[in-house]
Amino acid sequence: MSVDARRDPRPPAPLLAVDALTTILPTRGGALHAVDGVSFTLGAGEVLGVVGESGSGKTMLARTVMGLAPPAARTSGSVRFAGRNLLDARPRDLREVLGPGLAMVFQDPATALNPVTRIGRQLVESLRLRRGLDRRAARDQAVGLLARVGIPDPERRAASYPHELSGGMRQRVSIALAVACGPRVLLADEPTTALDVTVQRQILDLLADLQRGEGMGMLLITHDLAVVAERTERLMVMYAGQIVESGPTPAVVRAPRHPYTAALLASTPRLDRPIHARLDTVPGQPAIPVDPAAGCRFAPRCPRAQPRCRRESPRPTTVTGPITLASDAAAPTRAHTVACFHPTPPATPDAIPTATLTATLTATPGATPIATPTATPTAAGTPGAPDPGGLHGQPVRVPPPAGRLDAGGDAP
Amino acid sequence: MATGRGAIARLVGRRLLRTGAVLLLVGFGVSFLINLTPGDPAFALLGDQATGEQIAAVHQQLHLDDPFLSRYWSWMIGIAHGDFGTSYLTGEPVLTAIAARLPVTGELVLLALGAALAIAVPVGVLTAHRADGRVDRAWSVASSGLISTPPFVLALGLVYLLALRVGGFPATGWVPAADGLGANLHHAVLPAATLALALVPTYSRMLRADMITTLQEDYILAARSRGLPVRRILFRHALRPSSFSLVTLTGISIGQLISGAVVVEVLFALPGVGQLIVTSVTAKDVPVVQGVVMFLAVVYCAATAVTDVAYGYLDPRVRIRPA
Repeated sequence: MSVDARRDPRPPAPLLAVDALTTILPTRGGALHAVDGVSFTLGAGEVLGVVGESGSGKTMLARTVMGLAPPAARTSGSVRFAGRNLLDARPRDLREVLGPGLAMVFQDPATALNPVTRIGRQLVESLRLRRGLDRRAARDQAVGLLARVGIPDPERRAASYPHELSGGMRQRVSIALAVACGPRVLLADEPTTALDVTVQRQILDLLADLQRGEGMGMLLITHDLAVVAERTERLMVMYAGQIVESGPTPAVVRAPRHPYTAALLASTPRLDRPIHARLDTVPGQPAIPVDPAAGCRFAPRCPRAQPRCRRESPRPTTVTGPITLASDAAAPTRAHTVACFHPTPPATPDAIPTATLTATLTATPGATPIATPTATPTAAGTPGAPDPGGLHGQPVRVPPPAGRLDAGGDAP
Repeated sequence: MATGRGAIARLVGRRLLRTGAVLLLVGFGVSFLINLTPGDPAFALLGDQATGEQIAAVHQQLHLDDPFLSRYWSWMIGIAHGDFGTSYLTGEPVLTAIAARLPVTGELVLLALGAALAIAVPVGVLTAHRADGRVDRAWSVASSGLISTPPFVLALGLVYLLALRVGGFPATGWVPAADGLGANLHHAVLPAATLALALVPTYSRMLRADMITTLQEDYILAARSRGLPVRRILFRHALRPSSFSLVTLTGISIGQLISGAVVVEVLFALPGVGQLIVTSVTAKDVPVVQGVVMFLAVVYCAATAVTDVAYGYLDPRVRIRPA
């Protein structure tokens, strides 16, 4: 049941394949399983979202993938990039990959730039050392990069110190540093969390623009479901170090199956609810997986938990439903999977109409909700879905299901 | 803009006022302390067999019977006119005496500072990079040992080791740089090493502590995420933001170095300012003691001022721009 005629039935060989990745940090209280058995793949031109609360292990996941886990951390599993396992690579080999292969944008641009070095110099350093440019070429290239990420008057700005720039400008500089060597995969770790709301959109637009322009794979890590709903094709929901639900973004957002995902969505502000209505909250505290016992980690907070949930750990299982594509069953995050014994029923009475959801999730000042009711949770229901090429500055909608999967590779 | 320059002028003005106050206090303190010490300079000058008349004559000549405050006042007035007085012992102007010995002490202090930094910086960086590693723990033990060794013991140890056992380095004496730089340095090695070794442990530990903090910063992680070589990250990205305490300490340790120079110059028989202090104190040569202390206070204040300027160089965020 092909949704899009152009769609290749076989997914492209992934650039980045993470398998059963586990990062255990020794703490005073015990072994913290910060990342616990995370698997996913990411292809060129794909955008994969990672959503979770603070402390769910998103940042440690990104750091472990980059080979930058703290020295005390014990890691297992594998991180295959371009066919090579980075987890057991020699430091020198790993360094070769960082920059032109994998690159990372950090959460807080106020701390991610060296405070005592002019930004131009920081760029020139990377360009000279990692791309072997001579002084002048590196200097020109640095100014070009600053212009590319939207720094006005880049020539003069190159001589600025980070503290002389605004938060948004600093994040643009960090992005320029990250993409300086033309990475094939960009890990964006909460790239907008530390920024003003008005700047967040610009930065996300810039990232989307670069991602499509360069055909990069991008892992977009955020706690903001709205961002993921709008900007990603697939998503993973992380809780206490584990992926509890994953799949094509529209499917997961429209019909969340894991009670945690459902709770997260229910706690997101929506325009179709009366204003000043109290938001739902997830009861209890986020679990901290120190020496975790068997059982679902969300069980203590879960309204659907049964005795079994506290005894056994649920494994990710493919959700049978219209969004599951048979050809994708092998790729873990391509199908909609959920790690839950008692998932939320597929069609809850509270099912959110797509249009309202998208409009609300991405509510920005001045944005009007799109009135057209697009998809029902049936993949085949949208044969004439408009080409979803516009991540950039377009009025926002949840991408049509399934057909969006490979659209990231399209030229803008 | 004028406001920027004005701000700097005000800053410099305030700084000079404060330095003046410090020097006044130091001058008063040293005069007062000398005044309290027992013994009569006249005896030191004339020897034990001096007659009462001779002593009275000397007292009158040197105004030794004037009240303390009056003597302090005339001394300060002299300094204000650039006259630090003359030595009781030799009749030589105090400034001339200091100037004659300054090259020795200056060279020792600079050599020691340079050597201490040249050793402590790489050691501090590497022990921070591999904190709690084997090298770090070994150095922690060794530096504790060095810190708790008094300089004179260190000096004797070095003399025993390098002058007597290994040989090749003179245990005493000094050759001015004018008589050949090689011979000069040759004689300076042991005393400078003594001074330097006392500084290295504190320097390297201070740098290590700050460096460990810096290495946890996001921008270090970011630099690593760009695949920059470890050595470059350590020395180019982390060292400068980690060096504030070390710079402060270096400024302060000018004082430590000078007191160290007293011991070292006596031990190695070097004709420096330290030696001058010792002889003038034992001879109750009051103007020289006062003059040397004042001179050192000036050096100390200058070192502090240089330290403050260095902060601006190290961190653009504390810079005042006369833009």
